[in-house]
Amino acid sequence: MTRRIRIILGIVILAISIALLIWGLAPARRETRVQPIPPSELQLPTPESFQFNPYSVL
Amino acid sequence: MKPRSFSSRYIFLLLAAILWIFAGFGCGGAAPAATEAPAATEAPAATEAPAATEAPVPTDEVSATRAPVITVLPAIKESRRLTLEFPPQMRAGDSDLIRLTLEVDDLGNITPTAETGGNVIAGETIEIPNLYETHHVIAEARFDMAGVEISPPDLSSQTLAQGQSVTFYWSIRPGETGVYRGTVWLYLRFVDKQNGQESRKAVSAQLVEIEAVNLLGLSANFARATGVIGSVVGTVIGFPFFDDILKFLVKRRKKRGQ
Repeated sequence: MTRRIRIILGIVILAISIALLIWGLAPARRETRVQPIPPSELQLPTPESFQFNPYSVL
Repeated sequence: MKPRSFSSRYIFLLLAAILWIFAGFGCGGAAPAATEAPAATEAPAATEAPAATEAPVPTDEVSATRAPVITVLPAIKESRRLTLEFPPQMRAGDSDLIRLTLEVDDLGNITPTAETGGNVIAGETIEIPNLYETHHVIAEARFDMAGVEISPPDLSSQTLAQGQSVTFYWSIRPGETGVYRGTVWLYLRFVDKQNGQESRKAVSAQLVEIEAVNLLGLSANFARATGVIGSVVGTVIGFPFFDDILKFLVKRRKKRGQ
């Protein structure tokens, strides 16, 4: 009886520990955003381009 | 009293009608001018270089004798792609990388053509000076995010060469849990090779949101340490054969000691 309790307790501790290890060592999910930039955005600044709206390029 | 009110109303209606008639004439007079314009520029379209910067409404005499002045600024003749890679969720106390790559888009096909009056495309390619030959092009990037350790915290610069990509890396570490918002900025700085004149242009500003989390209030380091210790303890307690092995090793030592 004592042996069975000990085994169950050991398995519970092991399961919790493995869960902690998985959470602590798992690589973070990564998000990738790709934004095409037309050649017109890579030109020398003109007076029109001084007014920059950051929301327009998102 | 009544005749006065009627007369003022009639005067108002009369004025409105006159205004409406004048407005109608005004609109009607503008329309033929727009349709006549292509006819005036049809002749020079076949013989002359197309006007890129001028309004295409010259008379026949002017366009036949004078070549239009084309002022084309040097330009980068390649299409690029900006790739931002970041972790939207990470453990508080851990560090991670943010990567920003400005690479050449192979699918980008640029053939600048000129357009003449009357929306007839001449199909002639304008010779645009290459910006890389006239200027030093420098890509600059910065990552702003309050409440998070960022390395490098300042503006990073890299020289942008034709056909080559540049990559910027930032290492970030949120100390506490929460949602952090920041911006990844990309600028292009142009330095004239002849006179050293500098100009700067913001190309992109992308909003980034990163959530720092923990597990039931446990930090990442504490969770990892607890996991390692718990795994050893759980293995020893839970598996009977480990107990037998330990007993066997203890007995063997005792025998050797005797």
